[in-house]
Amino acid sequence: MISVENLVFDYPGLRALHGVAFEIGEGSITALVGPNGAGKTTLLRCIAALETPVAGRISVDGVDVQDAPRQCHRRMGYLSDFFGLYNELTVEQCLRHRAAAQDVPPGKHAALVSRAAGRTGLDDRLGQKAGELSRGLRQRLAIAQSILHEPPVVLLDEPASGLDPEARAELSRLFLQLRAEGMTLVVSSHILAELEDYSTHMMILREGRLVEHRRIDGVEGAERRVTVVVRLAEPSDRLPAIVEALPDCEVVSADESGAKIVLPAPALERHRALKHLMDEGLAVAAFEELRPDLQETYLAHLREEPRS
Amino acid sequence: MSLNPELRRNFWLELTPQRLVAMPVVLGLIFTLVLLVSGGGVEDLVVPGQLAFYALVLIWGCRRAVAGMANEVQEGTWDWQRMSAIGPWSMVWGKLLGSTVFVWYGAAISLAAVVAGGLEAGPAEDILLEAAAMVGAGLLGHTVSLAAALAWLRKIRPARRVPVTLCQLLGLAVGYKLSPASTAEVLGFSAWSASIDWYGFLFDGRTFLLASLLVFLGWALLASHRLMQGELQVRMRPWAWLAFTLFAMVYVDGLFLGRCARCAESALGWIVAPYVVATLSAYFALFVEPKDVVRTRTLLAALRGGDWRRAATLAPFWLVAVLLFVVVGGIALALALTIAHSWDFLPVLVFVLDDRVVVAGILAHFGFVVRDFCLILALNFGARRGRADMAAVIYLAVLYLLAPWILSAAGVGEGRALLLPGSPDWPWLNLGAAILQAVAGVAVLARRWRGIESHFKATTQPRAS
Repeated sequence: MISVENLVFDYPGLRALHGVAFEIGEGSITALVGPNGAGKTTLLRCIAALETPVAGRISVDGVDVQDAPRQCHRRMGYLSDFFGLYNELTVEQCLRHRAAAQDVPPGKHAALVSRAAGRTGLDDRLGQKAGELSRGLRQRLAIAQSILHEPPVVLLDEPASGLDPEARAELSRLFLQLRAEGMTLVVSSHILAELEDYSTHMMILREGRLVEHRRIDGVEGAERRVTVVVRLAEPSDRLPAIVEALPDCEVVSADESGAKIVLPAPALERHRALKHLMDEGLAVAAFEELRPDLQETYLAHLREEPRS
Repeated sequence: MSLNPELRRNFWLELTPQRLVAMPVVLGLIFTLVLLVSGGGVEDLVVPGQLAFYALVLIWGCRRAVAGMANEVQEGTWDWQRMSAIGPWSMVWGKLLGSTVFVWYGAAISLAAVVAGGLEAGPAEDILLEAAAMVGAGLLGHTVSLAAALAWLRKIRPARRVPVTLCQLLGLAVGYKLSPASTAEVLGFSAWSASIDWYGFLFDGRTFLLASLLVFLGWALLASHRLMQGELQVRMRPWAWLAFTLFAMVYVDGLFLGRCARCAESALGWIVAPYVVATLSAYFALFVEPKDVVRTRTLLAALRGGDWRRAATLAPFWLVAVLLFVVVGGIALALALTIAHSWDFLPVLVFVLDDRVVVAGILAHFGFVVRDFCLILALNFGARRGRADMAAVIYLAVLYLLAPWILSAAGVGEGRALLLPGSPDWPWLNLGAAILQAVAGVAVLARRWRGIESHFKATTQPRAS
């Protein structure tokens, strides 16, 4: 859905992006993370055709961003980290203007405004002026404006800033819903725990270089392996030997009260391992998949030297 | 058919019921007061109607044309607009007419008073021509103000604010100058009704002014459209500036030759105005356009790689203007060299100068202009780019005003030949100084550029693993 090839972006005296290249598939949510100044916002603005790179090619939904920026804008929603709103317009007017500005046929305006307001919990605020909204509600209105024309691609730069925990949870649900409807999202944020809730992929930028881009949602091919934590209700000194004997199992750690093991991802493989433990008469109290810790992965990458 | 989104948004903001009632009430009260005080008829409304129209359209309207843009930048809504599907032309006219719609509402009432009074006072043709020129001048002023704001956004990136008053004054000055209210003479335009000699053809002043207004309005709209295209990231080539400069050469030459019959008899006389226009165009473009280091590097890389299509989209219009200046300067020089006494139209110096002195003078002028261009570019390619243009203005003011003044005051007026063109008494000193400074300017510019290249190479080298 998004294809970036050899993207180079310079500021005077500073290279902000060094030949960044990646592909983002349809219906994914990519968490774009990296320290301040890593180039996240520059990358998003290049994809959004708001900045012109020195070199490289970007295409969104098959359309070259530099050749046809206005066509791309029809296929894209973008929420800037420093967005503004028309304070003197009502929420409904803001959304109606957005629909018209995105070249949505007039007959569809009312339905799309209603849908976007409903998705962001603004349906009871349509008559209120944007300038009178709280910070969190303004953020929601901005998100509603970004997704109003139901673009296949949505880019969001720090969408959760200014939102309270409840609103953040709603936002996570909204992103999952948008993904379920087929939209592709790229979300830049510093709040990694939150990104973990809804992201399918993680992309780490450091000093303008892409240092990691991989799947994190645990839905991959048969080759994938998962980490499983085993806890016993009653300790057994046989546990280390039993897990060592499990077929195609890698033991990370094991003692008499529990173990951390790596197994093939398919559910049937995990079922067989659990059954084996039960058959051995172990009092298994917990047998759960350990989700990859986004924060840990991110920090581990930051400790490494960036790739050239 | 759906309404232009920008226009509709501005209608929501500008045309509130209270304002729609207030404007005619206030204007109506003013006109009633005028009629009561004068004790005359509707013809007494012409002058107050004109005053109200110009105050509304030129003073307030030019401000509104910029403020609409400035607010978007300041409030952070401009990126939404840039991300929309609205095309450049729709954005331009939506903003132009939308942000000034309330002003035009009041202006229409004022213009009605002017026309009503004018029809009582004189021939219908006179007042209708004047009314058309008033509307044209207002539109021109607004378009120039909007174009100035867009040029600012292009130059200062990322811009957090737009200098509203400066852009307003630019639009006001241009709109006023080409309006029937203007009486100051520039390039042969004097009063509204004066006749105009253009290439020896005599035109009715009103018709010529109205035609000029429409043509310049077209150019201003094209400028706004092109600048908006740039804002919306649409790729473009710098042909529009080239076309405008060529048009300005032809237009101004007509006025110049119309006022100087002897100039029209000389080949060099025909090139004087185009040369001046080309020079001014290059200075203007150099100051207005961003001298973007990154873009210039990319342009040079495209040229080195033979990627002409990309190079054309990256070429800044100052480069085109400078190249045009070189071409026109070359033609002027060729004429002076090949046609003996081609400069005989010069009214005062004709008996004193010979051909070599004229050629030296043209070459010296050319050299000093090259020096100035290198100075402006070198400052912009230096460490403090944000202040470069202001520094260039100050240095040029020192070179062209302060230093010559000091030299004259000190009794060594001939020293002026070392700094600026136009020293027929010291033609060879003048030429030598110009060549020396032009060469020095090019050398400094080349050195600055090498510094930029080596800095970029140092900061973009891959890291050792």
